[in-house]
Amino acid sequence: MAIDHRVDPAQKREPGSVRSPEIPVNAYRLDLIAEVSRYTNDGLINVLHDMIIIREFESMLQSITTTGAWQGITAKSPGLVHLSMGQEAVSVGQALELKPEDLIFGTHRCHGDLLAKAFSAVRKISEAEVRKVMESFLDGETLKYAEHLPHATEAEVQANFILFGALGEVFSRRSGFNRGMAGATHVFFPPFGSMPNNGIVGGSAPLATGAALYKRINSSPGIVVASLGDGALGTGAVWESMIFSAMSQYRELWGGEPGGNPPLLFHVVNNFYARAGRTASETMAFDVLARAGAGINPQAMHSERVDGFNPLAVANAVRRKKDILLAGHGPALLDTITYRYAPHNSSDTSTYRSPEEVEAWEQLDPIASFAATLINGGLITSGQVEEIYTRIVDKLTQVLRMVADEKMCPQVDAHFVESVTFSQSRGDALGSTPPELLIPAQTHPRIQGLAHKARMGTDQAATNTTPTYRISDGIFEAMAHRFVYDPSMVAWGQDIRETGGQHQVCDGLGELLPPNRLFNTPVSSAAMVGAGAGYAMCGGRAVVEVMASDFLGQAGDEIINQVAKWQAISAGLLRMPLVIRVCVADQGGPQFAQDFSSLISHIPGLKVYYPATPTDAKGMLNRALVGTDPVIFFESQKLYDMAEYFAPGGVPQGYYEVDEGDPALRCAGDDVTIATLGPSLYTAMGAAETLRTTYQMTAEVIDLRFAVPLNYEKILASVKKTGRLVLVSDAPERGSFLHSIATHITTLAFDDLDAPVVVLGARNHVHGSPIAGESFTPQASTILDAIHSTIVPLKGHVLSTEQGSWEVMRRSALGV
Amino acid sequence: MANVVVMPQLGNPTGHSLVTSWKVQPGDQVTPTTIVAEVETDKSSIQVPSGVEGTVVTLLAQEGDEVPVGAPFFLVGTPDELGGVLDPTNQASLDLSQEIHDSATEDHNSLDVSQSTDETPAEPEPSPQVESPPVQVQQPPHTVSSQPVIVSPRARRIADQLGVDLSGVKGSGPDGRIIVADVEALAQHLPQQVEPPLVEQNQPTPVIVNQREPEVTQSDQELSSDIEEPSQDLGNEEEGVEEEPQNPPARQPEQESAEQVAQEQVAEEIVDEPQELTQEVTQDTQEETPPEPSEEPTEEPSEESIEQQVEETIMASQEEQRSPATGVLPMTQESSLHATPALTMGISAPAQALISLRKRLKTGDESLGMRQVTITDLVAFAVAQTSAKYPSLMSGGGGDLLTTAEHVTLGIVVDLPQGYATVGIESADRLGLKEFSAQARSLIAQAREGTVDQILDTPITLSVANMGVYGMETLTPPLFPTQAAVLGVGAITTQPVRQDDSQITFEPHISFTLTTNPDTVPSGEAAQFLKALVAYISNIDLAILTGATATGG
Repeated sequence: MAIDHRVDPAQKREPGSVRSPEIPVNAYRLDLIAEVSRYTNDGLINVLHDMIIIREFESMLQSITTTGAWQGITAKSPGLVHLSMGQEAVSVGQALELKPEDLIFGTHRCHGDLLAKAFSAVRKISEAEVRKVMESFLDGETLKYAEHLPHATEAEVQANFILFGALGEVFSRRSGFNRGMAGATHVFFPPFGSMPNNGIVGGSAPLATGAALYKRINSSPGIVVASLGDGALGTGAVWESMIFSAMSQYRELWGGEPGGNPPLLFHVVNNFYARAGRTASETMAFDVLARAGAGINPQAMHSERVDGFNPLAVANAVRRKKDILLAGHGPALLDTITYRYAPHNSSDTSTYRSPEEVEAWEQLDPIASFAATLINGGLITSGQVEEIYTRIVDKLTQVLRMVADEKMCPQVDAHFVESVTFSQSRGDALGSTPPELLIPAQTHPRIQGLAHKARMGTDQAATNTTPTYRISDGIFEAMAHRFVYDPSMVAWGQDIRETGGQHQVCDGLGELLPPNRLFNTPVSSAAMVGAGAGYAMCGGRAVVEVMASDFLGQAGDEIINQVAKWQAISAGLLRMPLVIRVCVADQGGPQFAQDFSSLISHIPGLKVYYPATPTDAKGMLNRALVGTDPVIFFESQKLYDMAEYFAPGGVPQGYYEVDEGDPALRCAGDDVTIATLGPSLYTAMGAAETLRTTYQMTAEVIDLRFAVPLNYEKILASVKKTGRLVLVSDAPERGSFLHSIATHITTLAFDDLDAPVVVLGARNHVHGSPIAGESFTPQASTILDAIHSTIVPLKGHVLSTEQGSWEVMRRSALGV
Repeated sequence: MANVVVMPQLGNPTGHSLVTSWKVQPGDQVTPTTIVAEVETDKSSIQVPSGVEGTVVTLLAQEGDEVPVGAPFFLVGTPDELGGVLDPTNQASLDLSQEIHDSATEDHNSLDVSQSTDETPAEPEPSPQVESPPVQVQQPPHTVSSQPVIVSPRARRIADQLGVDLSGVKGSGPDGRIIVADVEALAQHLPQQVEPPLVEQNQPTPVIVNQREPEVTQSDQELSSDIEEPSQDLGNEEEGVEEEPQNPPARQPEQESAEQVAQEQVAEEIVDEPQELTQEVTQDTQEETPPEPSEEPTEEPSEESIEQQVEETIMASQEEQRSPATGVLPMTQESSLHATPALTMGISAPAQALISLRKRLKTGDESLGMRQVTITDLVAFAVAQTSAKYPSLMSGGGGDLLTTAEHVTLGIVVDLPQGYATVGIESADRLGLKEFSAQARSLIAQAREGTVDQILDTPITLSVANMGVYGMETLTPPLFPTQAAVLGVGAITTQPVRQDDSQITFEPHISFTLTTNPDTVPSGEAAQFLKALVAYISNIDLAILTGATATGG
């Protein structure tokens, strides 16, 4: 699509000034008549009701965490809780304008948001639809408890369901909303639009961005709200998400109706404190947080400050922003001011706020003032308000009594956690619409050209006229295949669209796919990866390219705490069909050539693949792209141009997968086993050749290709045969994942070992000069030296590196 | 605190560094480039720079010492460190230097031994003490040598399986570790050719062989002190632990050569005067010419109860004359009897059926392929068949873990010029006689040639050692700790038997001496087994024919 992106110097150098739009502050004026006609009497009474539920729910938890009991029922503390008393108007006002299809990604202070959203949702869909949700959730397990609790109407069953599901989760019961995996900090319920609530400050923002992308790309109805605290404006993740969701290309390049930006609302619930730090006067400079929008786009993100003590003010603002978002004019920002009465959490004593300040805000209790509004408006009497309180307290007492009974409401067992770490399922196509393609795959030149490439590196002498199938082709082909079959698959990365991304691996995909399926991102690694997770947990397949493994740090939280965890915390209700392709760069120097495959393997909840041949690159990426688990897919820049030298017959045509976790035997031998991960395969083959010709020893070379998961059988069988094992990769030796294998094999095959197991890796210091790999990563000579020094002396061998015990001790003592 | 400076690598490929002369002395100031010594490597003479700055405090080697790359070479510090404990004029530091010097030369010396001698100077001196009568002293196996045995787990496991004794062995792996290749070489009597690091390239690495005292002497001593009468029907039941000779059996050159000569004499005796021996042992034998092992057996039929034994002896002696003594001694009295309590009991079985069967097989049709079956084969076969019925004899494994095998893995102890090797036949109780014998023959031949290369999947449950070839009547072969029992097979002798009619006839008998571990094999069960074996042997032709293990009478 040709678009005029010309950077015109004349225009750029013209003098002028930049103006930001005015940002309204507390603009709402109550017009009760209008609100009654919009929401009806009952609707407004429901608002009061929902606020009271939240207040009592939170008060109950406060009582239990401080005194161990509530309403005469004793209960063990559920652990750390973050209470939202005082902020009810925000949650309920927001939910008033949201439907079940609108999603909220919130924070640890999430009970109010969850309860408000759930109660709002059941009123907005039919009773039959609600029943369907309740019956199918955990196969009706939670519903059983809801129906066991006293109820006179279906609405009461619904209320029981919501309260039991939420409170049960707070107390980590297996029939709670997340089977006890989320607890008080994260409890959420996707069927009603309540998505993962994050303990990481700012963590919601990238996830919400991905979810909004999902709605935009797949024309899925509704908006997405990133519910954040004011402290989150300090995080890069939030700013990256704002930038990512505000990109011009959505409007300028992407098509679609109504088109435009992903429908994302950044709803900052501003209670003026990030725990103890005062964001208004101490740790931030914006003065009025709503100002932040002006730093992102000319519309200042349609930013407003809203009075969060009036639920109707909040509803009004959310409604207007929602309209803007659904028209494609997002993102939007709300700075909703509120106050939390309780300390930050159950271990905080709130000594940083003066009693006068707290009291001043307590005078403005949103519940009391809203009740007064309704009473004054004649919609309800104070007696009826009392009744609401009484009913709610009774209901919560019933629910608590049941939840506190550990026999009646047990927790899940330890095995369960293991079982939900990975979804281990497959999804050929995670959508049912026809995949959007610019041209038919059969007419795409690069795709067609693949079939004619030489399948093996040794097929005819290398000539320029006979292109050979390389690792980069394998990656490209796997991507193209899944793009054609899965309409939900989307990929993004830096410079991926026109130039094919790192090493031009994806060159040509830009001709196949419209920009809403393949697009360039800003240099926002956190948003890129987090959005991938958000997109995937909404049910779409996402592929994110990270230009170099060195940059994984910039997406650290997203990888460690988001991508790796939500399948498990959701107790398997959410899946993560996300592949993050990471290039291990070559000759880039200290910050651009590091192999962090070991670092990533250490994080539970991630699968780690690292192919070293074209056959494996294609077959393993195929496998990753059909699974529903997050895969960190390492690619070595050293090997992008490597042809196939191992598979008999070369790279197979057509579609095939490599079995997950299965290492590959590259050559058989009797005297020593060398197991490798990544490009070290070729180093090992070189060493094996020398062993064979010079030392009359045969080495058995095993290409691990997988770090997580990994089957040990082949390695064990080999070690039982040879009695000797050397493990090699380019990852730094200290903390190398290979040490895990080494220790396990030593335990499993101790009596078969003729020598200690050796692990080789890069030196534990920075890369030397950018182009000198020799002294930094293991070479063939390093392997031979290791064998000679530690395993069995090689007759006539001359050492070129220090490998003996002295050197090990010296390096460790110096930390190098 | 003075710093230790080590011998630098300096492109020295093998690390062999002989200090030819020092260029500095304590008290001298050095800079990193000061030449401190001249050192001779494999390639040439090199000048060694200090590498550090400071005052030379102590030289840690003397001229003429071997200092490997990476080993402490000299101390560098400050002038005020002179005159302290590190003062070269100070006795303590002189002692330190001497110690380093000694260990350097000791290593050097130990690396000088070639395998042409049978000496094993891992200890400074061999200790002569066979002459003294055995005294009860507890000596755990590992103190036989002064150095701990460093061996890889896999090599240890294979050594156990093959019955290779590792005490005193220095391996060819890094740090002198014994590795699988060493054990395999020991098992095959071949010296290790691969050199360990830091050894001068041209010197072959010697494998230090643990010389085992010939069983004969020990047996004789025990016989003389403990056993009044050889090979009685009743057997000699001994309670309690066998007396243990004090002497480590290693490194007694004079003793061995005397024994060696004695054995050779015995062998020669047998070769030269087979008839004499035959007549000695049985009244009914006729003369016969023992065949060459490589020829078809062609001797005339005769009462040749001793014939096979003679044959085996001749084979052994001829083998011995052909191949030099290279030595591999898998078991020592110490390693077995010291570690394991032992109970020995003996019994003899009527051997006529055995002798007759042997003769029939030997003269039978060539196409049956049974002509090579020996007395040892038949006895071992009988042991395999009968022992399978006794669970405690099927248990082994050693240590705390006793496992009961499903099938018998029968060991046959092969007598070699300087000791024994044990070969194993797996699932021995499931084999027919022909196949059993074929395996036994093949393995024994390999063992004699030094080419046996067995790694058993299942450990040996019990072994058979036939010393009857030497005319021995009773014996107590050592019980290897992982085996349940070992059966010594004695010579066939003529014994008087009272017949029913009060007549006395002289019948050939073969004696069995069973050694078991009373902790794992109840003595009653051992006795029952022996009786069952006797019953089997007494009617061996019928027993094999019926394929049933005879129940003890």
